Amino acid sequence: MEYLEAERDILIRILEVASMKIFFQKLKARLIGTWFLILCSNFSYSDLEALTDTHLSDIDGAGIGIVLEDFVFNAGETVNGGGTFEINGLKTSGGDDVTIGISQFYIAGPGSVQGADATDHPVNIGRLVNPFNLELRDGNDVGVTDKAVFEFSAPTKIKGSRLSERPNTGIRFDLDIAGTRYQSLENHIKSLSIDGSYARLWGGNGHVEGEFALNINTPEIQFFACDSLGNNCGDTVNFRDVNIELQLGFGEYQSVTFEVDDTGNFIFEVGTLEGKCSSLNDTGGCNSGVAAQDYKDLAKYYQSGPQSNVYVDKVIVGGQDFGSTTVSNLQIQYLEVKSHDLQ
Amino acid sequence: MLNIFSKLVFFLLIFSSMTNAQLVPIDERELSNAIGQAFINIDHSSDVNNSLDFTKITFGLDIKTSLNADLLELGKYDVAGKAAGSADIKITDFALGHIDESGSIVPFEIADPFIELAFDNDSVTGKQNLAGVRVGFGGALGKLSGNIEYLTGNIDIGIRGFGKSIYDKANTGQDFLLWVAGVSDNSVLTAGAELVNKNTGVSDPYRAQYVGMVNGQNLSCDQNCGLFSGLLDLDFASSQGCSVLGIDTCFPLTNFKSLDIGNNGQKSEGLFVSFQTKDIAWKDGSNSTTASRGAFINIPNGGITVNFDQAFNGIPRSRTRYLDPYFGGR
Repeated sequence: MEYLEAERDILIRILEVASMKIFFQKLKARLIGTWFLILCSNFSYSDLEALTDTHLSDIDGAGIGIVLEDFVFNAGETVNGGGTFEINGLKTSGGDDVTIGISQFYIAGPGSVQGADATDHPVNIGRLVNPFNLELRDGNDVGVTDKAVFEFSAPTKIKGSRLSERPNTGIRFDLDIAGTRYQSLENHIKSLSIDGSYARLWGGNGHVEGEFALNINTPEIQFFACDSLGNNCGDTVNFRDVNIELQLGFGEYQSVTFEVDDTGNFIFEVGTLEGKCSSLNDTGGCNSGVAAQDYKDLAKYYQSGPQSNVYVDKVIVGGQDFGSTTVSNLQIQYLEVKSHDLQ
Repeated sequence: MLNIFSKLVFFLLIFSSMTNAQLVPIDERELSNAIGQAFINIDHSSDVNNSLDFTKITFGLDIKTSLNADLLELGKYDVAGKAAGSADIKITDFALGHIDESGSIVPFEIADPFIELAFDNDSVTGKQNLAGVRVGFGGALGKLSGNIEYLTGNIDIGIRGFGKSIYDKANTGQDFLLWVAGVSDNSVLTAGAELVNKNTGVSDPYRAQYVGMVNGQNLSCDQNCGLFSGLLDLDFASSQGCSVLGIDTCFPLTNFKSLDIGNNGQKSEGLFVSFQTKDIAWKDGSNSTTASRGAFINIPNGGITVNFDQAFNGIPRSRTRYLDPYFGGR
């Protein structure tokens, strides 16, 4: 019995010691954890270390898909007694105030009657299996070496009808100069698709760089004018079967930049191809030889680089056919656009 | 106790970090120093005689570019009297800007581009018809290259060069007539040229394939002229059926593969491309250019000047790519 009591005392002591040990271990762990976190916090406070582009480029998430179901946008519906919004601050070359009224600005589904009945005709924009995407991509996949690339993309182009996901959209402009209203101009686009469009942005040399693609596909774009009250609208100018593919920039090989200079004016640039070839011939052409990397890069640019195309099957006005319009394989080797004051 | 202490430390640290990262807004005074917001003008004008109203949107932009396109074709539809498959404007291997011998891009320069809409007031029905739209430039300078297969528009080309170029093309009899007229190798001769019908020598700005001297137009001598240079004003020295003294005075547009837009190195005003449903007189200051129905391109007089050699032999294409098919692919 004594043996058992002694054994129990020992067990209790052991348990007490163990308990204290656990307590001190816990205390030690808490202290270590606390000071570790404090140290980390201090490190964070003193100097936030940015992830390198190489690290960021390893991130490859699925991104965020965006689908707008039963979507209607309807602003400034004057035809239904609603309001408008206005763009002010513009001037004529003579200094008179100009106001542009925006009305019948809508995005809706089929049957929206040029914005007159937008509210009851919603549209799905994107679908769950093919949504608009916000994504951080590995730059190595899109021509930007070892950098993370932010991408906002429209649904990818797929075969087959997506008519239920193609909105009608339109806008009306009313012009007012120095208190006098002039003609209004209306624009309506049917069954619009921008599938395959994207904007990609990444960090460049002290500024944001990017590349852009905009695809516009629609069976009809309409323009027509009306009087200052929106009545007496004239013949419609119809652009039938419009297909536009615009591409600007080619990864870091030819990046697009947008900056504002110290005078407040903007500068938009598509990078130049000048200097891309290390060996030039006496007419200014690239003479590096087909095996040279700079020659291959230029050849790739001209063969499969950014290309813009425009095709309008027919332009019809008042029943008269003014034929088709085509611009094919437009490549911009260099573009600089600078704004300046006109007054 | 430890947790409370930790939380307190964390809170302070987080608070400190937030303070450190706080963005400071630009104050009103700094903002007021920013300019550049006035780069758009909108103007309205009227042509009362033709019941037209115009709205012009001008952008205060300076643009420099170098671009290539395989095809630029506007207004392709069949018209009686014109070739099947022709278009109002068709230019293949179109390019703006060029690359010089040192491999530098010499961009095409554009100043103050604008978009202008024309509204037709129908006095009978009261309707407002959108009658035309044009995209134009306040100034343009640089090389425009391409194979111009069809052109509708107004392209007055100035020809200016030495008499020697004429002599080189002339036969013995023509040499004599030129000699009588006092034209020497060093005489500077000028002539205007415009879009023309090759078969008739009549001005034809619609889907033209040739440019040259129209019927009745004479060569004139500007410098180093002989005593009898006035003879050039006589009928024998006037162009008839695209010929002066038996020398061709009309040339295929495809000969002119690279055109210098501009005036003595300065930007030219009045370059525009338009589309209209009826003939419309577009106004640029005091100048007015009547554009015919359909697609139309206007290059103002003085925009392009070629010498006689260029007129006779064409203007070779400038390099527009670093790997250029017109330069053997390199």
